[in-house]
Amino acid sequence: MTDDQLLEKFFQTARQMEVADNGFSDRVMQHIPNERTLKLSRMWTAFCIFVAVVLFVVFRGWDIIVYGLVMMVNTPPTSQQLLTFVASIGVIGLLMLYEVIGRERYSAL
Amino acid sequence: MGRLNDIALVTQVTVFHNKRAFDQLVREYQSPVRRFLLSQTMGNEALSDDLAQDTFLKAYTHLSQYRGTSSFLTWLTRIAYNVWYDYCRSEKAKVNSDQFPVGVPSAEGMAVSSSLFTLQSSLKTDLYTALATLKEDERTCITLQLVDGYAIDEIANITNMPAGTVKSHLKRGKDKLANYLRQNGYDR
Repeated sequence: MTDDQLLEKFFQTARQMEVADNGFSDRVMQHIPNERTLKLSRMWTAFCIFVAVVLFVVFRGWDIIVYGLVMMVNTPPTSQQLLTFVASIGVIGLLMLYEVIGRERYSAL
Repeated sequence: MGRLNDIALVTQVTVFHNKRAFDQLVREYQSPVRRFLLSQTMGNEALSDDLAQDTFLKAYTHLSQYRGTSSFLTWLTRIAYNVWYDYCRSEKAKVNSDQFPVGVPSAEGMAVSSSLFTLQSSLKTDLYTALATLKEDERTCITLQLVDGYAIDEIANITNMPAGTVKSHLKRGKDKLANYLRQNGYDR
């Protein structure tokens, strides 16, 4: 008997294995988030983004950014500041990568 | 269930939020998804059911991302594999990999699982004991091919591994299993 024949014979029974439902589907359906919750979650996210944009405009957020950039250019950074900057960029990059991979895991097929 | 029927049900869920349509999909595919996860957990029914539930909940929330280029079961199996992979990673982070409990068939899980399947208990024990001789990736590739009947390119899609890596895992896994089966007299 070849290896392939041996494995074929061994797994033949496993292929026919049927897992009885025994209430599994009902349990899954009980945990499905309802549309109202999903809608509320989306609305809350949209509201937070809206508030962030409004605050950014009201408090002239770009002034702070420009001031920070000018200070950064005019002041030579210490090694600790540089390290913090690189670490921050690294963390942001990793989070973005994680998000992209997360989306790809469900959309590739 | 045909692919067109699956797509019709998916559309019912995503467009009309028809939960009954999703219920039909769960009932249709619970068996292969739970069987796949049982093979990965080597018969730990409680764990595999938790992971299977997580799989279907993730499928529900990401259903609009199903493109229909593969069968719905292949898409579900990919999610199940990702859920299993995440679980392994989180467990490995908690426990030293030498003491990692997932690779060892759980007596508790085996005992509980005996009521669930239309397969003799001794055969089931043999199956999971044999699978326990393999590494995680080898076990995944072997069960996807020999139990679920997927081709190499489909396994590569599900696991996101290059086809060459899948072939290597299959080769090594089959060699190990064949040796194990011969040593235990299955070739007679």
